[in-house]
Amino acid sequence: MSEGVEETFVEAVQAAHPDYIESVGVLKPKWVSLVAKREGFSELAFSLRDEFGFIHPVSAGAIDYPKENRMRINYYLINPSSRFSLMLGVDLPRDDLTLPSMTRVWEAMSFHERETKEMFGINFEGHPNPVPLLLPPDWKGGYPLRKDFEGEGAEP
Amino acid sequence: MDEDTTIKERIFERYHIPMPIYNVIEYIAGWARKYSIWPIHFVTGCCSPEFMQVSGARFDMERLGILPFASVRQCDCIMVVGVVSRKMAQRVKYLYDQMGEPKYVVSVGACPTGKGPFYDSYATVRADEVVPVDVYIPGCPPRPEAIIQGMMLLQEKIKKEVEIGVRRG
Amino acid sequence: MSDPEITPDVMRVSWGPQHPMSGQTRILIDIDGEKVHKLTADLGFTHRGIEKILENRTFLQGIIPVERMVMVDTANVGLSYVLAIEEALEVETPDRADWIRSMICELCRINSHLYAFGLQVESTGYFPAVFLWTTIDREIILDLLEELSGLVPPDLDIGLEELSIDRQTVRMRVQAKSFQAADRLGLQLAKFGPFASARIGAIEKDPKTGSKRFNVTISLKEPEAGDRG
Repeated sequence: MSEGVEETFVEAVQAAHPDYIESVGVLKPKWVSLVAKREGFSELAFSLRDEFGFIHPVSAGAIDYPKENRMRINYYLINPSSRFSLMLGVDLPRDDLTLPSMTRVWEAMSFHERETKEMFGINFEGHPNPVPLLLPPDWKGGYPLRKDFEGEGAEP
Repeated sequence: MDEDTTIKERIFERYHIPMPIYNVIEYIAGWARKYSIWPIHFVTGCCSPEFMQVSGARFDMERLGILPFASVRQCDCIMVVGVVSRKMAQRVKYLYDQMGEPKYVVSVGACPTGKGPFYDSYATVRADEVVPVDVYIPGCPPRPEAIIQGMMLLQEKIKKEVEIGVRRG
Repeated sequence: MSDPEITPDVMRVSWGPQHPMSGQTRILIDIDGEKVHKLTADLGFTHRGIEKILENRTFLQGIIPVERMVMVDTANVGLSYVLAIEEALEVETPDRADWIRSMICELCRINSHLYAFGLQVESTGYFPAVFLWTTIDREIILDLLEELSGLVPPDLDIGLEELSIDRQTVRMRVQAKSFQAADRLGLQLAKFGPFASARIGAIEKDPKTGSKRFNVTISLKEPEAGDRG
């Protein structure tokens, strides 16, 4: 594997979609990090899957930054033919938490998005089955993994 | 039914069995019952390999008569092995209600006893908030010898029962 | 739960959370005779909130809940957590640590596979004969891991009263239940390298409780930091 694979990918993505991307960088060997904007996120995801070959979804998770008033969602993907991994992130403002669902692009993100929805309160538009996954059915409200979660039933 | 007379006295009045013979019958019944406790095969968390090792070859539980059995109606005791989460607590209560009397509950491990290493979590409960517990076995995970000692404590408790199935305290 | 897909032919069976073979997952099976139409998974019975409680733990204390995500194969999960922390703090580990970690992870992996084989054969009929064979083989691996972690068997009946450590010696004041327990303590201590030169002092018997008390003196040649690892 030549060393310049990550750099060629970085340039190719920046050339293809200059509007949808905020920043691209190489994290470490075989890892690229890409932070995207919320507008046009679906088109970027479809093109990553079809043109650049990231067909293997690994995981998805969210991080809460209450002081900067944003939340970040990270999607982790792998390109099996050239074997390197991508961390696709998008920042959401904390008072407007919606994002088009990635289930249409990669089917396996369904469970991860269900868990993120019940733990953080992010709405995924177009999710086929947005039913809570892990919490008990008599949960009285509150989003547990937010940093200002006080207890069950107490609104932050 | 009058609450002041015990079962023993009622049987004695009705069938006129002399007391010494009744004591012998009770002793034999207690001995037979304590050596045949069948728990439900119900493992929740990471204490379950210890449960399997206790019923394995080196520390054999079956020599004490303890055989984990899958059908709920024919079991005597429910051993709550491992973490009880909120969703699972409902099922523990269902299983406890489905067993026939006399029945006992043993809580194995630090997690059902007092939440264990997850003491400040929003999703775990203690076992004695849901079912009445007879014997607590601490440890994370408890040694197989400790589990066997806990079951022997339960056997002593069964042997000391004055009337079969009546729960005291 | 009413569902428009359930017709009079199709029955919804719950392969429930209390089942020896399914672990703690609940799978709802829409079944028609022997033909399965649809499976729905209902998860969350072992959700303990590990991600939330790790916010209140230090890095080293956090190994405890993370290792308990898996029942049998604990070293591999702990290793992924520890490697992530080392990469974040830019800590380099020596080569010997890598070798020891590989060995422990391999032992745990074999442990987990033996457990799975036994349970799988048990699930084809209900006779756990093969499961008992794999349990015996697992005991060998567990003994090795026990020696590594320095776990003393609990049937020694020994209690520690006082402990004082300085650069050259370790002094312990120990209370035992019987004379055999004192002998067994000497034997167990002789198995560990630095403590092989332990000298057990005279045993005095407490007249009130009947317990035996004695001193154990261990002289260390070169004191090493963290030698109980």
